[in-house]
Amino acid sequence: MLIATLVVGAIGAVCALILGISLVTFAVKMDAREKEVVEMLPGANCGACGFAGCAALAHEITVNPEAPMACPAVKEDTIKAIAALLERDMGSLEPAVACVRCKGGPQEAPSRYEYVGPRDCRSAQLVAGGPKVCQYGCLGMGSCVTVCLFDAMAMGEDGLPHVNIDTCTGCGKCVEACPRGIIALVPKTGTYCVSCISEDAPKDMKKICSVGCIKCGICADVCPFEAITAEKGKAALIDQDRCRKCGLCTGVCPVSVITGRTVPEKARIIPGACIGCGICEQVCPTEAVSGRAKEPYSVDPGTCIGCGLCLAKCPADAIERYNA
Amino acid sequence: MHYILLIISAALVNNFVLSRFLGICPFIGVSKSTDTAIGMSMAVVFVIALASLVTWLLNHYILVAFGLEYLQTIVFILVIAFLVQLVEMIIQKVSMPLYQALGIYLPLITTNCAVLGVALLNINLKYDLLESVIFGTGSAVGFGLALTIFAGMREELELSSIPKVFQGTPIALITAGILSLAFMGFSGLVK
Amino acid sequence: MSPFKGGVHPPEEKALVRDRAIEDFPLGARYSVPVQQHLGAPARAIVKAGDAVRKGQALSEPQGYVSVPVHAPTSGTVKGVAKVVHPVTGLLSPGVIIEADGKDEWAEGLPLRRDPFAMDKGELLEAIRGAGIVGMGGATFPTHVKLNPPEGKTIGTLIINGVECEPYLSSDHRLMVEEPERVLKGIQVAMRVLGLDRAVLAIEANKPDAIRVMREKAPGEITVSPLSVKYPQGSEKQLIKALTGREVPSGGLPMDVGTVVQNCGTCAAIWDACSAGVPLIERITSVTGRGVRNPKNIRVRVGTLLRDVIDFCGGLDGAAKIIFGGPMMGIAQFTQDIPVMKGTSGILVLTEKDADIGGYSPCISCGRCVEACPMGLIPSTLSRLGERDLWQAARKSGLTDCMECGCCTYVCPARRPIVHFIRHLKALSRSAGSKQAKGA
Repeated sequence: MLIATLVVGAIGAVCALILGISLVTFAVKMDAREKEVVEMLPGANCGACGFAGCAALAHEITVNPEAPMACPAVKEDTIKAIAALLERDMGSLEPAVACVRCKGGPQEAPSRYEYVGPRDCRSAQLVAGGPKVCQYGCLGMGSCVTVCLFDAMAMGEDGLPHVNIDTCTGCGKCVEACPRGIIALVPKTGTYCVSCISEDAPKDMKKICSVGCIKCGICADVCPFEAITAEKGKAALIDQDRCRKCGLCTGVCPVSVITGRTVPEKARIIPGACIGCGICEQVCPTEAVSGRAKEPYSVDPGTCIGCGLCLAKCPADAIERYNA
Repeated sequence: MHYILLIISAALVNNFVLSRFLGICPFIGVSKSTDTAIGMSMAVVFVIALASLVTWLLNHYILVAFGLEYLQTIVFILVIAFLVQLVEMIIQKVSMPLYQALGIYLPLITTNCAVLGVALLNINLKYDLLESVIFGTGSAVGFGLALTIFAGMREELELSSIPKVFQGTPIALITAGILSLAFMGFSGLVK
Repeated sequence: MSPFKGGVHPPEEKALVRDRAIEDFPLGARYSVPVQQHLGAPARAIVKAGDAVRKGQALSEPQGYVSVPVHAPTSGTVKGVAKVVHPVTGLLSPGVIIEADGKDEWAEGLPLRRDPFAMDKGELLEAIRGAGIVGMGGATFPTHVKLNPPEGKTIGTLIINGVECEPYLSSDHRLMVEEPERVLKGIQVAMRVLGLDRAVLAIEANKPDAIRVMREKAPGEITVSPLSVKYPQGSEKQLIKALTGREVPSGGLPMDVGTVVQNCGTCAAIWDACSAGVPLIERITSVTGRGVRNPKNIRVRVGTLLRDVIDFCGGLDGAAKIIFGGPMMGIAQFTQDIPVMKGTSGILVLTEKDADIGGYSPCISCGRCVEACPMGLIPSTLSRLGERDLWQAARKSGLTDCMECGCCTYVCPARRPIVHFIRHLKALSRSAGSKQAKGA
């Protein structure tokens, strides 16, 4: 028994010694932070991020300052810890999802010829710029659906691709695959999007597409956060950093081209902290806040659209968000 | 001549993957691309060749000498784990892309039943040192051959239109079965 | 012994227009002349709205060596330089719109009267370039560049392409039968430019009258060589192989094997340019197919609208597809508001039945395409790579050697649009290449 233990122990010790020496001889230089990031990631090597494994994703995040946090399995505080380690703001690590900026399916946007060829949008684009009259709209052949590694895209009955935001990891393959640049990556946490990138003149839009942006600019006028740019001759564009998901633009758009996903959050006033200044009532776009001077104000949850403007403007930090 | 027959027997007639059905894990896991397959094969050849040598020596000069044959499994695994760790370090230094491509399958060579199988078979078949090393290397070459052929077939399958039910692992297993059938053609080549 | 490997034998369908004499297309009211009618560097329009132009007057200025001008097909006023649908790309590109004044007056000094055999090589090349001559077989490569190979490339053989291997088309055929002198004199001018004392005129055996006429009229130094019929014998590389046995190396050009190939229509245009200073403003085009009421061969001016051509030929009759060129390599059009160009050898109007429109199924690895490919590629693999966007693997499998002749698509029993897959792969390869160049 003793001899057995000694023998195995001795063999183990020799192996360990040789390995120790090799560790030094064959050392590979790696960014120390990268190693830490690898350790912070789940380590499942599942590939959901679109990379070959956690090590590859860690490398990408460390080396590329624009790389999003593509890992769907990682927790909020881990993202914060990685952000602190790499000294980057949350924005660049925020999970993104794909957004298809076109609502013009075969019903809404006519074709100018019958296309015969490979069932692929890029191949169709090669034939005189695609069968659709609209040179900016979705060709509906599903190249984006085919390239998706996570089955997060599917062709709908309306002839347009739809993104499953729960399974989408924001890897960006569909963005690359679309020959017209219709798909963009937007933050996962609820967003509003103008579903059109047309640059055709407003007067031509009628025969080009019934749901295309007519560049009227009403949405830009109505937005309380100045988040929408309506450049001349181009479709309206929503700045995702400024958008507070209030949804007012969807209400005023004459062609209903703006789509959005609101977060189910609302505002409420913390009674103990409220100083009754009334700023919140002044800024509220839907008149959901009411109260009397010097007394705690209150928010009507039925009217509140969760835009967060009151929260931003409150001098006493007396307003909080909650999941409605 | 005896040694040549030993190699042919180990590599073709009693192919470790296709006849003995050992080492299936990397066989299915690393055969997605011929480049990775060849890299893996070389790693396995290295590990098995060395393992055959070291385990035989350890067995003959220490385990048998002290009457500790019952420790074969533990000691062999220890040696194999050590060799695999060594190979991992070398590959990481020499070719980072290969290291990343092999991923988890590189340390899994440790638990590869084919490697332990060779080590134990050498003892069971009572081979001497030279025969052990040659048998080990031959088996590893056979493993690599099966792996590379299979990888080539899977690369072709990537381009084929496979019915949804069969896509992925099912068609891979069916192909492996057919390849195994093909290798049965070698039986009887060596007595 | 096969003249070249691969190839197919589609039905010739030449009976529709083969025996119809060339008809002059009447002067029109409006012409739309695209500025880019050649392969190579773009040219710049040098006229603007309101300018008066005369027939044969230059409308654009070449911007580079591999570039040629376009000229006014008739006298009139320039309405403007507008964005017109280009028949080759299908996209909008600049075109000079001319409203004809009905007088059809030549530009100052034209037509000239001079002897090309008294002009030297430089003068001839300048005349050819100035006249905007391009390869009229359809490729539209600037002729002055082709006839002037760079230092180090010795040319020993001049081959004139009278093969016209595309089914349905007979424009070169009728040209050779009805105007052999123009073609032969043009060949002699080309010989003079290249410094050769002989040339070979290749004609496929399905044009016996052309062979006979050419044999009668050709001077000793031009040999008429009849060839057995096979598509794509009219393609440069295949024609060179068939006539001389030489194989142009992968990625190479005919001049690499000491050969220059010119279309017979181009030679006729060379003669006009060098002897009379007449620029390339008209050509013979076959308007054919069972989808048009009266198929004809027409002498039509560049810039004539397709709509007017169809009307002249009796209008559409059960048309499903309109193609500029032949059925194998021609380009389908989605509108009739497009102009005839220098390279429009044919306007093919197909009925639904002849167009054989339909979907495709997965590749069954039958190997027919491999037998048919004249470049020795494996189209089945390329089509499968195309379905999966694997352009790097395609590059390794000879993607750039594909000349898009269409033999593979023609024979495929699964009706796969193989050439389209290959074009898709080429597009991916090009955009990846330009991304690399930008350092992305």
